[in-house]
Amino acid sequence: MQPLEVGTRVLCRWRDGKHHPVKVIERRRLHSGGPNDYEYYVHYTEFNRRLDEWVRLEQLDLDSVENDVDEKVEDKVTGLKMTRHQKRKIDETHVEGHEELDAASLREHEEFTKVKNIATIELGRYEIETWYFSPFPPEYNDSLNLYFCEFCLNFMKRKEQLQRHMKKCDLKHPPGDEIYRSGTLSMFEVDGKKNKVYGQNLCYLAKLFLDHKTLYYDVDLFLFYVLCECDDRGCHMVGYFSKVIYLPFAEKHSEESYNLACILTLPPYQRKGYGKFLIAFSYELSKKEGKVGTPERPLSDLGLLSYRGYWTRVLLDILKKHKGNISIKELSDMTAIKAEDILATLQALELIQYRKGQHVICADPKVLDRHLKAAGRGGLEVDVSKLIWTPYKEQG
Amino acid sequence: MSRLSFRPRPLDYNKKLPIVKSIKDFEDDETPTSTRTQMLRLVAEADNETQVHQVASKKTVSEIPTPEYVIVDTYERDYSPTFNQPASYLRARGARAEIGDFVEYDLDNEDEDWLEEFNKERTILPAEKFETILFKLEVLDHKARERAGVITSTLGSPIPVLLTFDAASEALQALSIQYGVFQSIYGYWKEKRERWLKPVLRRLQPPPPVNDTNPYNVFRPREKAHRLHTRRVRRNLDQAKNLLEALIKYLLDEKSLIQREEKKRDVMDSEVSLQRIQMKYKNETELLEDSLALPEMPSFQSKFVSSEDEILDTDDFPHNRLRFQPHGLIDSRLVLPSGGGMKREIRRRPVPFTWLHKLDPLEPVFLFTKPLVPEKLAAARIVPPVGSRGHNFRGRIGRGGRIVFDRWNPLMHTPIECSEYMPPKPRSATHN
Repeated sequence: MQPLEVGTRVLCRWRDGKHHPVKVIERRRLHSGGPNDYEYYVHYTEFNRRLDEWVRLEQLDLDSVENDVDEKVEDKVTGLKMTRHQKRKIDETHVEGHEELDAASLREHEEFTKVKNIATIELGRYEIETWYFSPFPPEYNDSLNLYFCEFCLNFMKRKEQLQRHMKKCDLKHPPGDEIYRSGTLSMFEVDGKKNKVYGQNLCYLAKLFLDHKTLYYDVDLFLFYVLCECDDRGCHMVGYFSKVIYLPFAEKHSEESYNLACILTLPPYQRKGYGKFLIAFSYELSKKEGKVGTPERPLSDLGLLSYRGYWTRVLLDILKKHKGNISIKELSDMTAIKAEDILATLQALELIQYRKGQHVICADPKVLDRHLKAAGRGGLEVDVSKLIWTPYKEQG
Repeated sequence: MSRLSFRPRPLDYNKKLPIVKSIKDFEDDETPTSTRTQMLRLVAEADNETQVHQVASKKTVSEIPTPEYVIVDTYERDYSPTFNQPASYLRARGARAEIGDFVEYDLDNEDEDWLEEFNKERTILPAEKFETILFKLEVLDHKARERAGVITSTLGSPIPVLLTFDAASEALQALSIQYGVFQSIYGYWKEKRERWLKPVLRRLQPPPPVNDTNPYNVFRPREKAHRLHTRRVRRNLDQAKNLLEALIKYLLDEKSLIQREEKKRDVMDSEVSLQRIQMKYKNETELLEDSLALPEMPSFQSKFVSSEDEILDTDDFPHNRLRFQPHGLIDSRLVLPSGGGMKREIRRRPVPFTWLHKLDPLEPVFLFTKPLVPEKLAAARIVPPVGSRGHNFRGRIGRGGRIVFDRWNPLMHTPIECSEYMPPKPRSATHN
């Protein structure tokens, strides 16, 4: 039979055993197969492209093949499978996510990164499926798997190379200053300028799990806050966030109040509250700096969810206890959350109402509790008394 | 009113907003509540059933499916349990490059394959040693390029190998490698290095240039170019405006300079023609003048002007004039009393330069080329200043016929060494 064309729409059996609609993104001949034996790189149209993967022909339901697909049908297919709520979420993500990328550069980005180059990585205790393309140096093009040293984050193509490296590697924790420790949890601040190779390694690694992260710029101007779980083998990275060093002369960043550039919780540690901890930590640093902050856009779907949750929890906790009137500015000063983010959060929860010619905040305890419940638990708390840190510009 | 029929005012961040603690507060004013308030009330009074529904829909969103991970079974062997967390917070140490002994290089597939082939019959070279040697070769080559001053800040053209075999084997003597083995390693490294066109050790590779568009070439140096286009345009406009202003100012300066020079030339021209007319007139009336000239001389206003004054050629510093004069060396009565603010060259009155007639009446224009004749000076009762305190004077006829005594060579900017013209001693310093 003839191989399927790129662009074909078909149903594909996924890991849950069910068939899901996919679009063929790319195809390649199997090394061991005949002239028409191909495998296909497919995008599950219901899901984020982090789930795109190479599949064998057996997984595809060939009866469902649609070669000539027009956009209306596509909308119908995906539209039917989603609740209105889900669809709204995705629309919002789309709008909020790409405010800095125009349609053309977005298409270019998607084209260049449409197929993942690295399929899995080994990092410490875990072998992790990657989510997105990452522009590793050309010498690594021929490798589907990479082995990372979990401390210095050097990456190699063969396990033996990693094992040889582990015998000599002199690091047991990120190469920066520990600025927070609570129980087994430690936070390290790594200066990208002083640890160029580590910073670059971390960016290569993070890009595997972040879609719209740019590796365009040097790591010189970044500080990396690496969160670790520590045991007798060392400090194991669970996630990190990066932050652009505040420079009075760096035009772009001095006027914006960004307190976070990229944020990532590694997949094995996700849904355990670490992401919320990282967000909370970034705001604690902003409070110490005496500034309000906001994350750089675009936020990924998961990032936006975490941020919404954090903002909701922090703001509603205040509103529950607060007596008397309060302005958005006061809320911003108390939380270091940027006023725009506060307003957006309260409006999304429909807590700001226009009554008798003025805006009021609705803080009915039952309504607040319901929103708080939906926002999920706060997870790990940041114990500010354990943060020992000086803002960068005050450091020597 | 079931919907808001007007647009609410934009929210002021600084304005204190009342916090309404109960939904019922909303309903006090209007009986027909807005749909939104109704929804709020529904939510507030929600029974368990609706709550379950809400949580369910929330759950589908928060559980965005993600790729999976598995536990590595060799982990416990690969990573040794040798970490002792100190009681105090850990501090960063120097970067690896500064520590020195650490072998930063990890063998890659190619190295391993070559080594396997090299060690085929018996193990001549352990992997760790091979790794160390390759690392040192990279560092030595980098140092050689540093010494040659050919380190580039960005990766443009291929980076040549500068480390020679002899230099490398000498530098690595301490590792005591067999000559033949080292020759093979050096050959392998050099071949690989030249094929890569850049250092093999990632730390030593320069970043790609800022304008590189290859998406694989990441970590480009940060430059101003990353700013938003609109802002860049605006900044260029500012720059252009400044340049333009500077240019206009320059042109205006030039113009006024030219005008000034033209004016000076005109003044010169009119002075020359004035002198021509005077000479002509005097020629015609020579006899008559000659007989009358001498008795008139006391009315001739001669002035001594220091040469600095003339070089300045300006009336902008009238009050400085006295300062330039060789004070105490001139008979005070010879100083023009009102000379201070006078436009000397333009407003000079035609005066009878009677003593000049004795020179060459046919060449009256270039008076300044003529030497001073002491007898004529004496006849005109012009007393040259007396050199003292190391000053000497040289007399000459200036433009327009003034008599100038220089104590400073206006061309050489040196003091007058000795007066070429030594005037006879004045008969009386207080001559009237």
